[in-house]
Amino acid sequence: MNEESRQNAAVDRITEGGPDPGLPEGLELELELELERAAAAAAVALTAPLAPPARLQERLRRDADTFAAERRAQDDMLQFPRSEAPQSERHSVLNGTATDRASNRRWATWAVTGWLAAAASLTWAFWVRPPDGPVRRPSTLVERRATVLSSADVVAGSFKPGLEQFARLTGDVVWSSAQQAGYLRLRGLPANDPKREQYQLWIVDPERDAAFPVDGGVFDIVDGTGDSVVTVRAKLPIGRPTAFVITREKPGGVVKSQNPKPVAVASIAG
Amino acid sequence: MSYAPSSLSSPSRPAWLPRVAAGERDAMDGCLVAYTGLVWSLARRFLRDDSDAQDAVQEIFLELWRSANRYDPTVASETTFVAMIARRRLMDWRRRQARRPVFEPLPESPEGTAYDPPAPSVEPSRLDDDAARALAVLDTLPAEQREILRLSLAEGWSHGDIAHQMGTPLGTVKSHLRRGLLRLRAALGMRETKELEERS
Repeated sequence: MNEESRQNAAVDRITEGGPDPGLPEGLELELELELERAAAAAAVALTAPLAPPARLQERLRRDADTFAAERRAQDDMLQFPRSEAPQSERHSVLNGTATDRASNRRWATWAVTGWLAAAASLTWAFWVRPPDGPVRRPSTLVERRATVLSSADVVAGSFKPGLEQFARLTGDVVWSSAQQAGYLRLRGLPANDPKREQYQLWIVDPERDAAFPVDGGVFDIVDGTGDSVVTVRAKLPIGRPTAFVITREKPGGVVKSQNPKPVAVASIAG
Repeated sequence: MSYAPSSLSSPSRPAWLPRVAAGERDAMDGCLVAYTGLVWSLARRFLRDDSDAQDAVQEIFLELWRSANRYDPTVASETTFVAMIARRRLMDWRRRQARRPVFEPLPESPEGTAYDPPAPSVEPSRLDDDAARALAVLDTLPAEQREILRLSLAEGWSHGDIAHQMGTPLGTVKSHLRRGLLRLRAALGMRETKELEERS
């Protein structure tokens, strides 16, 4: 691609959006970022001010309150020094209660025999930035998580990394069977290229066939440097989850994972 | 808390994002006061629909708070950083909606025809360094090119809609945008583009 073509492609992306071709590399990235900065500065200079509606201002204030509270809570919860998760435990994190042990056996079975995961048909999963799906308000996402947390039947677990390359991953999951809703909070999970692979969530529910965890939806990590919140998209009703498992799969997810080891596992205390 | 829609940016404005990244709750309020006017103004123009624009503004601020630790004052002004995130999100919204801009001007929007561009929308004295340098470049451009840049960058119009509305060939629209952005880029202290422009 010659220089002018590169420039035209960058300008098209900056001014038209268009399909995301993935992260450009090298000079393309530099060029695009510089032009984007120029476009943003010009937009500031050319934008006549409009007064925001009072209703929006109030919503933003509530968002700020919720975000600050969430971050405080997250900072409190995301304290998983690696020393607390020895290597030997990372692949076998469920070794406490009877429920945990049951889940652990299932997980070990997966690791040995490969994934037997099966689930209903895959549909879009929601992510902070859904690829093409309907837009959801992040504030609603945060608020919905708070709603789950307030549920009497809420259960929670902490994610621990499976594969060594995800050793920096921390996070948690909350789930309410009464609401059939749950959310992951993740930190340190690398961004993925949705064209090559996506993360997929599985839910272990002993009220179903233990060998067939329920598909919890696929999701993308857009920015691996920050914290992310993911909505659990269970494809079947969940009764009593005992573990949540994240794997890497082909785009769109799979109905039967072939990955011998998970990205991360969160066990739910019984 | 009061919002100052007229103060889209200011040279003396304190940097809020580093404090937001540090977890200071008050800084989030400062961020809202400083940038709600700018983000709302962009959203209302890009999306036109009031409800969509409000939703988008919420989404943008959430991303802004999440991304606060990525702001680097040596690369861009804080206002420019905010506008970059806002424009990305707004184009995402538009792409998802697959909507075409409505050509009815907003009540608050400057009136005028394509070749009679509105007066500068922001007092130069209120602009931060990036925007002030951008405005200095924009003011040197031919009226048609400046208007094309305004419609694209500040109003979010597609190239095709600009060409249709202004009666300008699509290739000319694209060329004006590319050359204009290269000049803006050079003015903002980036790589020398003279050679590139001459080549094109």
